Amino acid sequence: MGYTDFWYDAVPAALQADNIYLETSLIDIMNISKAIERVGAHRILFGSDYPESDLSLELEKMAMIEMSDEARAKILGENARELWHWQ
Amino acid sequence: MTIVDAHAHIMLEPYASLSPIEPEEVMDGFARYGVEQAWFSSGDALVLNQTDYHRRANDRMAEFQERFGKRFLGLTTVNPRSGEEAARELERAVSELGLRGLKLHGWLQPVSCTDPCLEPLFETAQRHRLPVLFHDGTPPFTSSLQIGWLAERYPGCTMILGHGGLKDLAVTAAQTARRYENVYLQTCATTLLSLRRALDVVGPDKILFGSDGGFANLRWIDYNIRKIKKWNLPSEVEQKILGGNAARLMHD
Repeated sequence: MGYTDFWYDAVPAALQADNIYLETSLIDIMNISKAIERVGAHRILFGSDYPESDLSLELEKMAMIEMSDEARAKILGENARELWHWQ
Repeated sequence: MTIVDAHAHIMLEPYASLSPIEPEEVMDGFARYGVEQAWFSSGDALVLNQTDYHRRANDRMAEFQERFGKRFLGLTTVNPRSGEEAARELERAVSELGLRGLKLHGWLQPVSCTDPCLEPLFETAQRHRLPVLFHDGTPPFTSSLQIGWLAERYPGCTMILGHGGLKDLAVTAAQTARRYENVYLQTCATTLLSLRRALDVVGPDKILFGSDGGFANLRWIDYNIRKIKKWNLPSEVEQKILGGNAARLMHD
C-alpha cells in the first residue's frame, strides 16, 4: 500500500481503478483505517511481507484496527480466496 | 524495563486530515504502553514553514514540558530555510524555553542537507551540542548519506536517522551510522529484517526506539514496542534499544 514513499498515492489509485487492490504489510494503522473507509474492505488484502516483517506482528497490527467482523474476515482471507477463485 | 520513545509527535492545530488529540490523552496513551519518556515535536508546526507558527508551537512545547515533567521532552521546530531567523528561534527555544533538541523533516519542509541556508542553524545546534532528529530515507533530500555529510561538518551534534533509512535506504543508513560516530539509527517504520541487519552493522549502542506515534491512533505506540519485542533480543540489548541509549544520549 505504498509503504513509505508512495502511501499518499495508494488510496487515490485504488479509487480510480477498480482492479487495484491494497495490501496491508508494513503500513501504519491510520492509513489502513483510511483505506478501509475510503476504498472499502472488499479490496484490501492482509499481507505480512515476511521475512521483512513478522507474521504475528502484522496480525497483531490488524487486531488493533477497529472494523466490523465482516470487514476483518474479508481482509484476512475472504478477499484473497475470492481473487484466486479458491473453493 | 525503561522505555524512552525518542520519536513522538503532538498535534497542536488541525493539519490536513489530522486533528489534535488532547495532550493529557496523548500522555495517557504513552503511559498505557509503558513509555516513561517521549521526545515530542509538533507534527503540524514541523511542516508549516512559518516562523510565527514555530514560535507559538515552541512556546506550547515548553508549556507541555513544564506540565508533564520528565515524561515530555520537547524538540524545537523551525523554518530551516530561513537561515539566521531559524538559528535565532532555535537559540530562543533552547536558551529561554529549555527545549532539548531539533527536529527537521527535509522531505516535507523541504530542504536539502547541503543547502547553505542550514549553516546558521547547525552552528547554533552544535554550540549547544543538540541532538537533531531527522526524517530520513526519502529521496531526494533525506538520504542517510546526505545526513552523514552534515554529521561530518557538525561533529558536536548527534544526528538521528529517524526512520533508519526506511526500507530502500536501510542498508545505507546502517553503514552511515557505522561510519560516523555521531549518527544514530531509529526504529520507526524500519522493517524488522532491516533492524536485525542494522544491529549486526552498528551494534546495540547506537539504535534508539521510536514509534512516530502521538498524532493519530495511539495503538501505533504499542505496535512499535511489540516490533522490538519480536526481535527476541538478549534483555540487555533490548533495554539499550528501548530506552538505555536514549537516556544516555540526553543526559551525556
